[in-house]
Amino acid sequence: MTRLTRRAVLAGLASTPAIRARAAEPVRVLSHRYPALEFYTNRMKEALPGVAVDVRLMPFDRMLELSNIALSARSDSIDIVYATDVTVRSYVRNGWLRPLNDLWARLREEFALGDFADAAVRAFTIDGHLYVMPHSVTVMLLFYRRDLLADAGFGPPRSIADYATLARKLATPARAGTVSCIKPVDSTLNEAHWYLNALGDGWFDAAWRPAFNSARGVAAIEMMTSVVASAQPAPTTYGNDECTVALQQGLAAMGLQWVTRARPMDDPAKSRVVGQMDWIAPPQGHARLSSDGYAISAFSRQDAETLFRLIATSANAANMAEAARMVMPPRRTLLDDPAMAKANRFYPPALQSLAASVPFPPLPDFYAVGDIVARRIAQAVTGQMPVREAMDAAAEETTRFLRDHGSPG
Amino acid sequence: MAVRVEHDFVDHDRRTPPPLVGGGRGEGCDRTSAGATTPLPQPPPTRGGGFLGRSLWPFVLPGLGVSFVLFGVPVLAVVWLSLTDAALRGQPARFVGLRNYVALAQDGRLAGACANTLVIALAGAVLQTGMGLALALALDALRRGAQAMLALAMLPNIITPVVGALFLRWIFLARWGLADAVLVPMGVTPPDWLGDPTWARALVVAGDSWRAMPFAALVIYAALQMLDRALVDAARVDGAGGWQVLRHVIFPALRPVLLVVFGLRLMDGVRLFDLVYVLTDGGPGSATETVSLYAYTMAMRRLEIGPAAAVCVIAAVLALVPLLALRMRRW
Repeated sequence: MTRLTRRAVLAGLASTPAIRARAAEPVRVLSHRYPALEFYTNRMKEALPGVAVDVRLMPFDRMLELSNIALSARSDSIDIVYATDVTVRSYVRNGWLRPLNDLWARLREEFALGDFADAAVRAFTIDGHLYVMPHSVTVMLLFYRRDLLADAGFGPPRSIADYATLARKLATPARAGTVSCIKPVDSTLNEAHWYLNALGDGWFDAAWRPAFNSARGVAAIEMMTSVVASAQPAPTTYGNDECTVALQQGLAAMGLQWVTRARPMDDPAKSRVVGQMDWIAPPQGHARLSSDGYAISAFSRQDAETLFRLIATSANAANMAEAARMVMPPRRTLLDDPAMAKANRFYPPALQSLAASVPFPPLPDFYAVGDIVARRIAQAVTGQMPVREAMDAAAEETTRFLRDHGSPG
Repeated sequence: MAVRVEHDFVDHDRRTPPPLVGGGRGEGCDRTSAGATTPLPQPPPTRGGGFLGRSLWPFVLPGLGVSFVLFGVPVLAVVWLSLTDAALRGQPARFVGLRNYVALAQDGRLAGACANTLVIALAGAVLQTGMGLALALALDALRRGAQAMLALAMLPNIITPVVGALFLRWIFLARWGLADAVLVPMGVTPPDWLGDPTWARALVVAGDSWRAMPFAALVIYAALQMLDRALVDAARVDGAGGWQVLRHVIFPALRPVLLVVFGLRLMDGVRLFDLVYVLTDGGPGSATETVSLYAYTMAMRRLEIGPAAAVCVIAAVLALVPLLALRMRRW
């Protein structure tokens, strides 16, 4: 007869269905969705034999809301979470992410982690702790239909004013002069970022006071409004996905869009404009520069090294070389490889854009502030409110918000 | 207790038809078929047996307890949160009194959201009740197939609200939505469905009505089936036309049901969230932002739980207004 020892009890418990189910729980990944991220998360699924990975991909705003809900509840329902150079600041301030320094140091050689560009690593390092493994450096490009511009006798625009004029001239009842994606919140901020930084004084001054309602800031949003007038109807319902489809279907002649959406323009299964779309760095520079990657939730109950290995495998040199046809990799050996520019025709303008782009302000509450400003910008560009009035209202609300929440300034 | 049971049995055995409006046991008398009234035996007083001894409280208390845990505690928690500066920022919440409410009183966006909510809820309730009545009357006039038609009409009501909203979104999406695809080949220039504030509001009301109107029709149709047809026949014998029958016989008989349907739809409209979230996300700008959506935005985008809870309390008060109005009204 078996003796009832502590070990026997533990062995019995471990064999119960509940415990077995716990052990077999898949690693859960919550991510934004664009083609390169679909590729990377698929690689996570295949990274480690015997480790099941359950991936949920969704538009950025929805992903951000879901991560806020789950992580603020200290839930272990997310193990690996997508983060950008902006969201990482909010996550870290709230204590939602696990620092990666120990794992990074231990597995540095195995995954050639020293190959990551310093700027990409710095974007995710806060107070000396690294929280995110970079997967892409993303910039925006001005997409334009080479055939349409050539037929009309124009070259690609050299300034934002040129762009506005061209958009007006190329607009027809069947085809918008440009595509404008100002679905709140992230898409509006992306587009406004370019105008405010290239024509205005940026988002904030050095003391973190709103600068988007300065005379130059208001002029910048007025320029944005004039461009939106030549865009497709209902731009406030268009995010990146809708704008990409519009460009692929030939419903717009131009548009500001992420470099990650360049490759799908040449996909004959999805695009009607294969070979007709070309790209330039956004005129006058100052479009958005974004870095993104994957982090480990501080509340995950999975083994941290296993999670790190999943992330690192998806971001190894071979996978990043393959993903480079969709997005700019943050590994130096790939970023500086001349063969990349030859193989991917969007690379030269992307590299130009990379040199001239600027990130969002390093404000943990930037998306909270962005919700305020994006609504006001939408009210301005849809004619519900004069631009000056809308931007002043946004500045007042932003100042109050920052004062109440102890953010910088 | 024994007397009470006997009283119930007596009431059941008589099987008196339910009155159309009002009357019944509450008046302390029973109607006979001849219309005369006889006094009902009164239940014995429950005094003297203690709180739990000779009353129905022991049967009610468990249900009340569950209700309190499921509804009372969350409501109290929200009210408490609304008095704090709770935020999803990793800091402990502090009691701030009425500061959130004072700040919201000066918040133009909340005022706009309240106005949008009232407009959308009122327009929706009127439209749904009106269309529900029309559909119920049409079904009532059918000699056969009314049940099948009613089942078909209920389809929008059984579709998951978010899925229904997605359908609408893809129908009215500019340029390649179904609506534009139908109108453009006919030479009609479609409006900016979701980009124009007026059209966006109208579509939210229409979408909510499309989804909820079958419910209104079902309730009104059921009430119509209970209508005393003799009244209609008598009116016709007296020479009343269709409109006169509708106005002077059917409307007065249906009035309590119509008010209930209107009140329910008004309350549902005040807490409208899913349709707006998917269809317009409150846009363009804040043109279709409802109070519920604003509370969600504050909590999940700005991470301000305290102020969001205060918005929820305000939304709950708004939703209670129609209910209280109905309760205070004498039918």
